[in-house]
Amino acid sequence: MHLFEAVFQTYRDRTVLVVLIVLSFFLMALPEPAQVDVARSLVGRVMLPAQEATTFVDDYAGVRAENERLQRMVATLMLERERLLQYRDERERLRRLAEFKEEQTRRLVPAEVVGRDFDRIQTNLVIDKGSEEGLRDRMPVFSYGGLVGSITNVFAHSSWVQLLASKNHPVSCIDKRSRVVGVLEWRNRNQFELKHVSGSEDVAVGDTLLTSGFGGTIPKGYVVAIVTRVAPAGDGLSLRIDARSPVNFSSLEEVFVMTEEIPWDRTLFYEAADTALMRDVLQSRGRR
Amino acid sequence: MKYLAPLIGVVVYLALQAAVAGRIAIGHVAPDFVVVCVVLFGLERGSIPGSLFGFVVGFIVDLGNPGSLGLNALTKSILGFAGGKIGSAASPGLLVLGMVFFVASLAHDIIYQFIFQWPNVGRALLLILTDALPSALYTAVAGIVVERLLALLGARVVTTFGKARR
Repeated sequence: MHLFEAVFQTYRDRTVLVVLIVLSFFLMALPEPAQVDVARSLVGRVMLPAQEATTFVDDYAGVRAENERLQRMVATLMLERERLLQYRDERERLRRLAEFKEEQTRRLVPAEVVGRDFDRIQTNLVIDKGSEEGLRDRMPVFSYGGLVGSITNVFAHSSWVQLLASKNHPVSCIDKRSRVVGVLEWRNRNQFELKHVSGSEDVAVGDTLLTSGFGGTIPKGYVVAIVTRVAPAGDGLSLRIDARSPVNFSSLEEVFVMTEEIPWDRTLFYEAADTALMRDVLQSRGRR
Repeated sequence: MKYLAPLIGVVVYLALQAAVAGRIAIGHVAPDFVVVCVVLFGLERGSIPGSLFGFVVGFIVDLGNPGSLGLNALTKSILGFAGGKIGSAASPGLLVLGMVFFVASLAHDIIYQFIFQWPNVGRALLLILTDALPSALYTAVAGIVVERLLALLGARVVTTFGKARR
């Protein structure tokens, strides 16, 4: 005991460092405990006001440019939507003729990113919608580019989103062209690797990877990544497939949370006010 | 005040990291204000408070990162310790302080990437070259700017404190 005290007195700072390093490795070896979620929620709540204030100032400065961009987007989407609705009606008629089950879709809740991780390697976002807006744990989150991640913690008016760009968020994907299924795992930034694909499967550079719907959490058919490289893996049995997500995870400002399933019905998506807004936008663009 | 100042410091630097760092990022290169905070604290207070402070701050950062709990606590306690050792040996001028920030940020990322990417050493090395080096440079510049801003606001900063302590 005296020897330990003598060593501690002589090398006090190094002893403290060694204890902290051991403690850190112990934490790394732990499974993700429930206490961490509680502590994380506290951190999130403390930081939320500061992050909201910064976001407000930033948004105010960029709102005009964003408005222009959104108007262009709405006009384009409006035209595209009309065409797609015609296709959809035709497809529904054909499905009814073939006696297929009526298709469902899902409601998207738009949300603003109001906070991020404290770490430079960002794996989480904080959004400004929560349980009061119908959000629940594990709901998938999208951006214009594709799948972003899923909700991990829900509070009354905010939620944590775990990004796909994090080590413990693999996603089951299907190749849009060849229907080959694999598991997409994050590597760095927006780079991913599609794993568990046999060497005899057909996957090519440029193929789009969609959500497979397996597991039931994330619905089928949404864009996740584009294949950038295909090569034989070291084991000689499988393929090494690199893919890149179209989402820039470090600069997300708004996302969409996919909530409950609803039947295809345009009135559920577009309220009368939305339709009037789109008409005004199109007319104002037509006058220019 | 002895305990309040670090607390306020932590909140300010974490807020900078969470709300500002991403917005001033150049491409994927962003400054690490948390590293700046830990190094400054270590330089000012010494190796034991520095390593303890680094551990606590790193742990807070880790709370937002499920899957790598303890990794930031490890890297930042080492940074706090090293900052304390450097602070007791020298009183840094701005240039030296910038170099300290650069080396600290780089060392932080080297440890972080090797553990985070383990066993893929090749990928860790690639990320150190493409991400950690430019980020360390940006962190050094951002750290100097923050330190000078604090000095302008009348805060006790490390460059003058080192001299006063002698």
